[in-house]
Amino acid sequence: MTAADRGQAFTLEGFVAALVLLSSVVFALQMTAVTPLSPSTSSQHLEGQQAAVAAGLLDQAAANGSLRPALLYWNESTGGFHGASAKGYYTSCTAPLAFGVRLDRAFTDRGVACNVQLRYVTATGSLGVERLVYAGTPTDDAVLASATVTLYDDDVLYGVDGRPTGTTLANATTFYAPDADPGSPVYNVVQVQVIAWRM
Amino acid sequence: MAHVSRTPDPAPGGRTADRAQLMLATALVLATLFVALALVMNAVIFTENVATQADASGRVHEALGYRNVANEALTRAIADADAGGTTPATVRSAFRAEVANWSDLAASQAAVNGHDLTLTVASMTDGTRLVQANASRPLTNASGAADWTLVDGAAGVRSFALTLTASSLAAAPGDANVTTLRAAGAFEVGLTNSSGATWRVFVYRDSTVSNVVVVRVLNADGSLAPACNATATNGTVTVGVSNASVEGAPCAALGFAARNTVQAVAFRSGYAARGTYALEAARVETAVDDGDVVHLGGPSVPASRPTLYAATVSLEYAGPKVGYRTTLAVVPEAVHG
Repeated sequence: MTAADRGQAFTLEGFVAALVLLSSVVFALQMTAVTPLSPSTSSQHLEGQQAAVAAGLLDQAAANGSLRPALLYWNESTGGFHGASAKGYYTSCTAPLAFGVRLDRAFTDRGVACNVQLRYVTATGSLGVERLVYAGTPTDDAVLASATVTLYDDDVLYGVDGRPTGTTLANATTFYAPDADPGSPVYNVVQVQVIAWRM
Repeated sequence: MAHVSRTPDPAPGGRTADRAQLMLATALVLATLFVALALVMNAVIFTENVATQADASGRVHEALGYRNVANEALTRAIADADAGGTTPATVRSAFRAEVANWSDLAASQAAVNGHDLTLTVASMTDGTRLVQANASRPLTNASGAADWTLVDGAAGVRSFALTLTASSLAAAPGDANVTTLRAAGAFEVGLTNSSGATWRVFVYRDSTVSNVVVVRVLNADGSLAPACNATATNGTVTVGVSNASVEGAPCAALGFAARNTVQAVAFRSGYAARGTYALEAARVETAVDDGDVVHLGGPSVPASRPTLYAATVSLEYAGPKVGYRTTLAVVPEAVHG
């Protein structure tokens, strides 16, 4: 082999080495796939976190007894929740009483919007929905957490000052949920659903 | 590619052929390395993805949530059945009806999410509620006897508390022994466990300190436990036998009640105490009623009414991926004594 041949071989070898190197870089870059966990506002991590916050919020409210008063904070004369919009519900992710304060602290400061809806059983056995909080249409990445509350005939409505009134559910006339079982002390079983999404 | 001809290399040692082999080997190693790396990377992504999914824990959380809310509803159902029933049979049927109604309503809610929820009453323990509501009446039986047995042969006693008027209690020194207390005619509650061991709770007024009520327990082994004292608020003192408290403050001497299955409760020197009391015994009312109390009696007499002492209810939850079955043992205020 002449010296010129060796030079050619070295050049070719250089090209091949460069190709191998570039291929490896391209290959490595291609391996980094976009997964559901890749950072974005619709990250599964964030959704999981919001769902856990919503579930924890409901669990805590149910355990410390602040969930039930929120369901019973009803104005008999207007047929809506006390201090709510003309449509009878609150329009931002907050509400009066302890449960509303918890909602506000859990979501609003973190840039998360929420709806809270109350699903009850109607007299015919189907399900009806009453909005407690309606902040808008949830996005595709919204999460949902729910808790069940049993209402009884002798549960009383709460006044605007947050104190129990003398009006029991059995005597209430405009309360959103009907007595689903008139022959029993159970008035209705309500499912509280918190739907949260990133604004 | 490097020089791969078999032409002998003018350089010493045949370097060209060796280099071709080296290139090939390196390429193979690199290729294997990349494939291995890709596998590891994919495994990491998959693991992280699966591990952080809230799916499984969320569904379990839902099943446990139903269990908690069912527990509350069942406790309330026992209270409702107790309040409404006048015979053990009506109490039982009222409980069954409320559980069935609640189960139907909750199942309607669960069905929307594709879940099935069923509650079935597995067993019920009949009980008797013994109560005296008249605060100015002595703790005697219906016919005025001061030494009498409220219940015996019970499978347990719970929610036992007395609220006594301090001025009605016999007076004795705070550190009095049993002989002195009996001589003073102090009011005494005897509680016997299933092995026949008896604890005696003396309640009396401290003769040396004004307005202080003393609770002293004579243990089953004959020793006298340290006294629990309380100042009579509004002239009365509440002795929680089941929750081991005197006027709301813990009283270790009464702790025996929670550690034993009490099967008999008796009063002695009932004339030396006026006030109210209530307890739930695990024995059907017809067996408890021996004339000492009045069945469904009014506030002026010691009264008894049939109740449910406890119940076990089977809960079955079936979700798309999680099935959960458990038996809920419901004993309201589950502190025995």
